[in-house]
Amino acid sequence: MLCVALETGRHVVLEGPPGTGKSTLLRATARAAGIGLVFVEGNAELTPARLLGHHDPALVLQAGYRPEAFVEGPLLRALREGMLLYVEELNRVPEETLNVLITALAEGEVVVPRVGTVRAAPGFRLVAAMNPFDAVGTARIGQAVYDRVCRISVPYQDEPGELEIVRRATGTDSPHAPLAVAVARATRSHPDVRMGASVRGAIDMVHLAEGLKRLRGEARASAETLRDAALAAFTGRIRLDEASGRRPEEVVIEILEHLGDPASRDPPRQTMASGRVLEGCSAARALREGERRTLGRAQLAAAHPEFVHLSPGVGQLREEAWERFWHQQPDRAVEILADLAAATDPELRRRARRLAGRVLVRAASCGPRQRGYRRLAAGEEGDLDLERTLERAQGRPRGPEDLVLRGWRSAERATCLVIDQSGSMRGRGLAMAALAAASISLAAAGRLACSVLAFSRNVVVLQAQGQPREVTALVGDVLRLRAGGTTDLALALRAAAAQLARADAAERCAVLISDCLATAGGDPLAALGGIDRLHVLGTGAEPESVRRGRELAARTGGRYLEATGVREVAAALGRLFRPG
Amino acid sequence: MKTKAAILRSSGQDWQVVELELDPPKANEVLIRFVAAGLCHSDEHLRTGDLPARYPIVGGHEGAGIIEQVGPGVTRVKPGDHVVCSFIPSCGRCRWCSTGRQNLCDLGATILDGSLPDQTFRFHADGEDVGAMCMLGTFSQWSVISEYSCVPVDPDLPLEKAVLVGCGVPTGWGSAVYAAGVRPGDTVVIYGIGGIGINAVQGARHAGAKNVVAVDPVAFKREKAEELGATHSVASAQEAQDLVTQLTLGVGAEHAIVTVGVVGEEVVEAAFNVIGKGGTVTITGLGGLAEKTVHLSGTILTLFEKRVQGTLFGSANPIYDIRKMLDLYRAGQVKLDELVTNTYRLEQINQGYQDLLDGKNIRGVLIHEH
Repeated sequence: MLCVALETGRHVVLEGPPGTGKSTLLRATARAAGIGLVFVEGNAELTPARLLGHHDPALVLQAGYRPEAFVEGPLLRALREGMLLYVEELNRVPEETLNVLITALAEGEVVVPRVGTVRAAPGFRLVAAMNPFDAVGTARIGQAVYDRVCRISVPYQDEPGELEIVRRATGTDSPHAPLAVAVARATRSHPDVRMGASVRGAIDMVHLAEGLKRLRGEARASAETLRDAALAAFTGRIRLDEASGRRPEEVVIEILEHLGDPASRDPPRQTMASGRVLEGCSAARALREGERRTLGRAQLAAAHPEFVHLSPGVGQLREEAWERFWHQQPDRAVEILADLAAATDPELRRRARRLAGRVLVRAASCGPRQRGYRRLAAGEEGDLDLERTLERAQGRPRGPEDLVLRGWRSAERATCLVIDQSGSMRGRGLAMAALAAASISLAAAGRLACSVLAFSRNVVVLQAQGQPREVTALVGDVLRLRAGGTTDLALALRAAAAQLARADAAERCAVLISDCLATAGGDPLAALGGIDRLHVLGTGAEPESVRRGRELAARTGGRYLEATGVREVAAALGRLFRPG
Repeated sequence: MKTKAAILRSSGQDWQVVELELDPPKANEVLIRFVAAGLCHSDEHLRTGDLPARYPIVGGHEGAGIIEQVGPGVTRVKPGDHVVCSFIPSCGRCRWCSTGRQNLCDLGATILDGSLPDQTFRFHADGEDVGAMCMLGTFSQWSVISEYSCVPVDPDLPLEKAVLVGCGVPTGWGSAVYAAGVRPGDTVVIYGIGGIGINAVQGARHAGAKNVVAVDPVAFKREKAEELGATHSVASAQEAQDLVTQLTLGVGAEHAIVTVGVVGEEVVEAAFNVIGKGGTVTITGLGGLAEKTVHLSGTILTLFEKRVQGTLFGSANPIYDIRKMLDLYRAGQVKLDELVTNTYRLEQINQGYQDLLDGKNIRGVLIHEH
């Protein structure tokens, strides 16, 4: 398939988990077809300039913008010479760089300022490889890219295939190869494992087992030797499901034990009775299920004396009356609004959600963060922006303070908002959570550095780290939550840590809105790993609730703030997140 | 006034969309503007002639709309009220209504003639009287109906969803909960997953059944059944028999509920065999009126104390249960949104019934334009 795609001049994305031979396949194909190959490693630092090329600053300063001052990047080389451009880990490439690629794919040419238009010579093709399950430091690949490439899926090899790979790679016919391959394959279907090991794990296990056996002078590798080899080869390679609460060592040992007993070679059953972390489709389903519970007009009128005034008839919402109310009693006003957003009346529900989105986003706004150009300070990194540097220094930069950098560093702080939706969070609690979501999402605007979770027994990922959503849509989803269920604080904190681990940030910070009284799961204090700082917005007034909240915040040097009302929450979050 | 409606001129013909003359309401009658109508299999029974009706007749007995005008003496509703129609009226004072069996109200006598309780007609075409299915004729933009067919509902409920609780939902749900009387821990087999069967699944689940086995040859319907609460789904009666034997260790099911489109001897016999001692077969679906569809071993019936019973409207009470279904919907317990598989305009009615026959619809809904 790949040969045909290349022959007919198609652009191709190879999609598959790591260790399935994508690069090997491509190299072999390119060599056999006699096509030149330009390799690019996809990562967050792959800027447009690094893909296209840049002007050599020294030459430009000396002689101005001349063609010989331009250092060609891989994309330009591939275009000019009609070669194959191979981008590994495409989903780790920043969006701006992807846009450059899209232009090259769509137009068959790119325009580089001060260099001119570079047309694609015949033979130019893009081949990209990506791992669809990779969730760490990756961005979504837009439809625009997918629309311009053919996708070839490269799954794991079958068992005999993997055995053959291990035999060839280790150069031996080790008796441990079948076990090593079986362990690798078992990690992919184990219920606690999110991302299993590739055949590379099996290769390493065989090498280690053989080596250990020699070192320990064993004729046949002992069970202990095999276990040690497996632990070293696999524990670092597998990614566990954040909900499992287990360590990789336990899982690998469990797999080995199961494989040792051929009667039970089914995948081991999940032993945890605890909740689960729901993301993507399952999160959407959980939201839809919760949303089924709605409030009739009679119920709303009984709960809120102001209801009839705010909504005199079916499908009506008097926004100006609500706004007046909001200025007088913001907490009561948002409490009602949160309930209206759960009305049976579809029109009222729609209006209430729209109003809530608008008002809460407005209340949460604390000024957009600046992004883009910074001046160089000692120890900072980034691409030199020649144009601006020259402009600022009138053609002659004198010291480092005159250099302008284009900011490509990752966000300094990744934030995860953790919303308690257990029984105690109704009406006002939900509105405060929605406000907090808006605040954090705005503070992080465009910086791919915030995630939002809601939890009771299960954790629902409303916004995954690195996948920013439109703020009003996010606020709308928070208002779709229905309070209820037990409080598994430990699970939520572990899920937050897992989200934060996806971000490339200097500080990983979580903000918890909760009464902090865990009613399910383990000890929350033991679940703070991976969170550098936890701030707590306490919603409970009882001394026990406050004590627990303070304890949690203090453990990581975070702050405990009492979330007594929407205004207070907005102010508290403003203090935590205001830029500068 | 004039109204557009889908009528049958005789059995065996397709639906025709025509303009009819509609009389104003007389005493205890109301003029209703229908917003939505459900495409139920019983109207198809009219078209095929399984149900002996008087023709011509305006189809449709699942309807929801808004009251526009009331005749003298009407107390149950007023103009502007949102109403879900009950396919069987309940007068509140006949022997059946006054003894808690409103689904058998005597005013239902003319539901297949389609006349109003005073034996006269409100629809006319060129001077000829045109009946209204179940005294409703919901395949018409407007109709004049008895106030006893009206169940007022809260106006904040979407009528295009609420329309389903006029017939299909309470009939199916009630077949399991009221007629069969499913109890927690029971094993229930439901034959035929259409607009009725799917709600029998929901009802059996609500009543606490341990096993809810949905039987339908169409894969889409089996999946729908599992989405709405079936614990198992199989394609044929034989598979159901094998599965239940295995699930109950040979004891048999407590309940079988027959909700197939056209009831025949085979499915009743399969249902009779799948239940164990003391079990009950509840027949909700219809077949040819003259056809003998229950043909069983009376000796087995006696020796195993099996029971075979019929049910109309799931033995539910229109006034109480139509509202109860909507309350359960509001509370997120009864699912209605998932039941509407397709919506149609009045002119597309024949397409709607073709889709029903092709197994594409759990429930098709007609949305009226005015």
